[in-house]
Amino acid sequence: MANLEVAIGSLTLKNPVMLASGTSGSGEELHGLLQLDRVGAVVTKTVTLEPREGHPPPRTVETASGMVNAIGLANMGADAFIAEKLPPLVATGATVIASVAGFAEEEWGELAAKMDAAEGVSAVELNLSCPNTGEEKLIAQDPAQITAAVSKARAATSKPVIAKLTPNVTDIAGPAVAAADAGADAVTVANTLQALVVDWRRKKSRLGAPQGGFSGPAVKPHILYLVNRAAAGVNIPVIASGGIMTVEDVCEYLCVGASAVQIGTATFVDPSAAMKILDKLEPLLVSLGAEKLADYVGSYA
Amino acid sequence: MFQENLIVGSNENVTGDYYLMHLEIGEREEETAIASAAKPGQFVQVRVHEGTAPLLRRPFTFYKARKRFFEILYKISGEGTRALCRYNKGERVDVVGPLGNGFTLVPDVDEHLLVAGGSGLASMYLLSRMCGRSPAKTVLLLGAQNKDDVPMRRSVAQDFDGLAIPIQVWTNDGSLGNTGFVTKALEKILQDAAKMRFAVYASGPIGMLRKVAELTTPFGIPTQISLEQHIACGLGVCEGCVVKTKDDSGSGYAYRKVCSDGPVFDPAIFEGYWDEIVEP
Repeated sequence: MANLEVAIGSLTLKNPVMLASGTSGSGEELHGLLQLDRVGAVVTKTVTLEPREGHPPPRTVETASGMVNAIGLANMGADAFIAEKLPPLVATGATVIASVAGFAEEEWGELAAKMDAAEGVSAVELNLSCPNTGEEKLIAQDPAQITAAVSKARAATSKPVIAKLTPNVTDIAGPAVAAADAGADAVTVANTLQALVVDWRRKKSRLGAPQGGFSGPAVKPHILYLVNRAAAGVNIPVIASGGIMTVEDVCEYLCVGASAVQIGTATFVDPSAAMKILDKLEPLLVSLGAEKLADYVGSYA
Repeated sequence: MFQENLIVGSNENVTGDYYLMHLEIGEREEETAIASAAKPGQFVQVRVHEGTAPLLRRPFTFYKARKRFFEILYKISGEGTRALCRYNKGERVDVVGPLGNGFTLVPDVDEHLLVAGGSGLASMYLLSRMCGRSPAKTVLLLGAQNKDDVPMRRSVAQDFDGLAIPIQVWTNDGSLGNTGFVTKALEKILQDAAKMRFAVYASGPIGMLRKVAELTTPFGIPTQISLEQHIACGLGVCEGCVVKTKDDSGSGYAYRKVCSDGPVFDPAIFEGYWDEIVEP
């Protein structure tokens, strides 16, 4: 038996396969299709201080081996989430990582404090990189803003803090180092790629919003590159998120330096994708000669 | 809701671009959990292709559902349905369902009026059977562009013959049945029998659903419409399939998810927002 445990700061996950934020709701929607207590962690849909209605439809467009979404951070607000959505999810026995997004700098501290007080939240993922907020520049594109947001959150909680970065940068190492130096326990690489889907007859976006975020198996080679770059630059765990569909995809990410992974778009394609991956991961690692996960992580020559 | 790997019993052309797929459980099992729980107007998310293009599942309503199998009636309208029509007898298909909220039988009416446009016929067989359990009469009004868009052929025609309900067919070009919009027929029925208590159930293009709503909701006729939109997850997770509607207070608007708040809605919630619903 290979040991699949992975440490994110003070938190030990039983295995490295998480459900990515925004692709598993608050978990309970997948009830009956997926055992939520089997995955390493469920990263919940991002919440903000105030409720957000999100973008007008259409909000998703399928593309070649991928999809572009512009949901617009639709959510009920942090307080309602903690009161209504969190307890049933915690009751499933799932390890819960709460995803939050602030706008003003202080909001990151406020949101982290709320999640610090929320029973059943094991860690906080800072969504520094949603491409659908209408902001000109993403926080994760500016190391100074990353430092500010992570520092505020770090000061407000003793729970592990994960910084979710954007792939829309020239070099991911800068943002990853900024997050690590500001006290993040891990970085998630990465959020969606900024993208357009164009109706050329009507000369406008096929989405209700002017642009969206691109995900799915088509993005995997690019995110593999970024994960490898980030892992070389920081000493904290890198959590890979980018087009994982199969256990082989997971191994590619582990090999290039990811300590854990998040399953996103694949859950839409197959709600039980994460479980199917988990069924195969342990025997596959054993066949590769790894006694524990860390033996294989970063083994890429 | 369940995820099952079902066997294609048949996948046959009905007419034109319409196909009927029969999905059944293996011999060793008693029943498909999906079919056993299916209600009229609910849907399944079908993995139409095992690779990554097309990537996302496609939603299909239940045409027929028994213990050991269910059927979907679909029209080839893009990559997903084109991939689906290539499945052969004996192959396996991954299905998630039943999903969403289906039609509800309206009690204490004299007549159930079922209005279908083109592929909207797909949910009408199961719905007709549900209506048949009430003492009220059931009438099906079926509209289409032309005769090639009327999937009332082969086993589908036999199924509806077996129900023995009155069926009126309307085509825009008059190539089959009566000439004109099916909503004209609905208007006439509602006018001619103003004292009767009707319930209206509709499935079809947005324009047709809007016209149905305009004919029924001002007169308090209980109406349910099944709305079609592009759906990514189908589980209420991604919030991708929302449509703009009146909110619960009626004073503002709210986005509702077609997959989990619908796909069957009371059309009154769309009043003032019809122009913003995009035909998928």
